[in-house]
Amino acid sequence: MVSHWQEFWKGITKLNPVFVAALGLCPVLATTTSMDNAIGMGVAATFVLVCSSIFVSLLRKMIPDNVRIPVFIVIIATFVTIAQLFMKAYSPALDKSLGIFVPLIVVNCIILGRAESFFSKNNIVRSMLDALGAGLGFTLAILLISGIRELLGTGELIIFGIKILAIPITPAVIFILAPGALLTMGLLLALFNALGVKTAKKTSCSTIASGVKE
Amino acid sequence: MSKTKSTIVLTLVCIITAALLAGTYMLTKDKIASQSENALTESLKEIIPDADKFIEETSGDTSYFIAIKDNIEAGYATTGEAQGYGGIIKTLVGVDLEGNILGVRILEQSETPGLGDKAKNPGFYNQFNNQKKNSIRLSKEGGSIDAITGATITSRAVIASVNDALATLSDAVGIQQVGEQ
Amino acid sequence: MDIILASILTLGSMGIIFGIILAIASQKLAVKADPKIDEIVKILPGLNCGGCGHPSCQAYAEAIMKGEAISLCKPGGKKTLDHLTEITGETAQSSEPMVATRYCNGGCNEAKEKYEYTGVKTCKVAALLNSGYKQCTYSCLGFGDCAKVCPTDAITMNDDMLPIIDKEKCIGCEKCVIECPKNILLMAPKKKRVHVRCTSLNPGKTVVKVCSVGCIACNKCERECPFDAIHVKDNIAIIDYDKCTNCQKCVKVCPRKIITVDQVQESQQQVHT
Repeated sequence: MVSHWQEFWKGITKLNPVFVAALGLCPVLATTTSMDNAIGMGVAATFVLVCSSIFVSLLRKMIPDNVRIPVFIVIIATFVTIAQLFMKAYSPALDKSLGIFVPLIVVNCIILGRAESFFSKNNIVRSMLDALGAGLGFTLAILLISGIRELLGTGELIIFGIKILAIPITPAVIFILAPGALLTMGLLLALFNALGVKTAKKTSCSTIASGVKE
Repeated sequence: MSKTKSTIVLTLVCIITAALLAGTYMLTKDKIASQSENALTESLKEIIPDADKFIEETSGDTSYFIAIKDNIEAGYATTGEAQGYGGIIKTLVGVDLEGNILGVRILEQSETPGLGDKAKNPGFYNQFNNQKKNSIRLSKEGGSIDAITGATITSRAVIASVNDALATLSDAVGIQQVGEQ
Repeated sequence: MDIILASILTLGSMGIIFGIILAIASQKLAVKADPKIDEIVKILPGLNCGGCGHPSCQAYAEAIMKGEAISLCKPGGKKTLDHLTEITGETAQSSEPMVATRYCNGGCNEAKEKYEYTGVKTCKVAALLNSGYKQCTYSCLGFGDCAKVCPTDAITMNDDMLPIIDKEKCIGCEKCVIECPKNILLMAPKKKRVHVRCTSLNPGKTVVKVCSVGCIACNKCERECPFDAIHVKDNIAIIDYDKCTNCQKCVKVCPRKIITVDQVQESQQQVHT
C-alpha cells in the first residue's frame, strides 16, 4: 500500500499532470501568458479537484456503471460553477482575464481522469491527498511556465500589480504568443526528462565500475 | 432493478448539486452585482472627478450618464463597445459640455496579456484626452493615437469603441459633432 | 427561494430524463451472451495472460464452448481444470506446474563486455548488434524485456542486471520465454530447485576468458550425481528434471559455482530463481 505522503507527493513529481502525464494541456498553454492568470487557474483547478474527489469518493459505491460519466461531470461542473461564482464576486478581473478557460475546467483531463481512475476506486482520505497532489503539481507547473513566458515575453514579472522582476534585455514577444507556449513547455519537459534519467540507477553495464572490464 | 437505480442516482446527484449551486448563487449574487457597479462608478469618478453625482438616463436602447456639479450638468459619459482580438472591448468615455473628451477608461477586455491588454495602461488610454474626432485614429493612419506595439487590432478596437460611445452621446444628448473642429 | 426550486427542477428533471435514456440504452445495447460462457469466465483466473493461446479469458471461454481443449489454462491450475471438467463434461490430463527459470548468471559483474553499448535499451535490439555487447554470445543482456512483458510482475531486474523470478507469482504463461532473444529463460518444473545457470556451448578455454560463472564442462557434476540426473553434452551441463531429487551434491562439487539452488525466503514465503 502506498503511504499517504506518497499519495500526495506523486502528484507533484512522478505523476505530475503537466510534465509527466501531459494532461490538461489546453489551459496550460492558454493561461500561462501571465503569472496572475496561472495562479488563478491553479487555485481554481485545485479547488475543483479536491471538492470533486470528496464527493466522487463518497458516492463511489452507489453509482451504477451506466451513469458513471454523467454523475462525475455533474459533480465536477457544480464545483467549477461554484468556483466561478466566487471568482466573479471577489476577483472579477481575474474571471474576465481567464475568460472561457474557467468553464473549461469542467472538461480538464486531469480532473475527469483522476475521478475515473482514482477517486472512484479509493477512500476519501486517499482521494483528497491524490487530488491535492495533482492540483499542486499542476499549479507549480503552470507557475513555472508562466513565469518564464511573462519574464521573457514582456521583460517584467508582475504579480497582483507588484513588479517582482525585470530583465534589462528586449523581450521576445513570441513567448507571449502560442508558439512560445509550446516552446517553453517542450523545453521544460525535455529538461525534466533529462534530470529524471540522471537519477535512474543504472543504464548499462558500462556504467558499473567493476573490475571486469579490460 | 438497476434501470431504476441509475435514474435515481443521477437524479439525486442532480438535485443535490442544483441546491448547492442555487445556494452559492444566492450567497454571491449581491457581491457580483456590486462588483460591476463599482467598476463603473470608480471609472466615472476618475474621468469626471469634480462631479458631485451621476444620473443615469436612457435614450432608446442605450443608457448614458449625466455628471452633475453644483446642481447643473457638467458633462456626459457613456459606454461603447467593439470587437477586439480576444473578445468585446468595452470603454467608458466622458466628455464635457463642449464635447471635448475628458477621459477614456477600459471597462472590459480579454486581449492577450502583455500585448493587447496594455490597453489598460494609462499611457495608452490617456492619449484620447482632448482629441478631436478627426484625430481619433491610429498615427500611422494620420491620427494622433499611437497603437500598442504588436497589438494593432486591439488598438483599432479601442478606437472603434470610443467612436461608438461618442456616437451614442451624439444621438442622445445632441452634442453636435462631438470633438470636431 | 424561487431560484433554488428552479435549479432543482431543471437539473433534477434532466437527471430523470437522461437517467432513463441511459438505463434503456444500456439494456438495449447490452451484449447478449450465453450464460455458460459467463460461468466459464468466472471460473477462469481473469488474468488475460494469453498463455492458453487466446487473447483474453473471455475469448478462451468462447473457444471452449466451440470445442477448445480445457487444459490450456496453466495459471488456473487444477482447481480451474476440475471446474471446467464439471461444466463441460470433458476430461483432460492435469500437468505439473512449470515456472520460468533463468539459465544464466552472467550479469555486469561476471560476464565481460565486448564494447560499450549506447543503443536502444532493450534486449531485442541489443542482441541484433553482433549478438549483444557481452563477450559471451549466450549471455543475458540485462535490459529487462522479460520483466516488461510479464503479466504478473513476477520478474524483477537486480543490480547486476539479471532477471529474478518470483516462482510464486509466475503463472507459467511463457511470455518471457518467447520474449528473451538470448533464450536464457526456459520453463522448468516448479518443484525442482537445482539449476545449471549457463547455456553456453563454448569450450571451457573460451568460457573462462569471457565469464566468471560460465560452465567449462569439467564433468565433476556428472561424476558426482547419484541419480544420473546431470550430463555434460556439447560443453554444457544439463539436468534431467525427471531424475533430479534436489539432493544438491552437484551444487557442492561445481568448481565455478554455476549450479545453484532456488532460495526460499521464509519471511516472505517467496521462492526466487
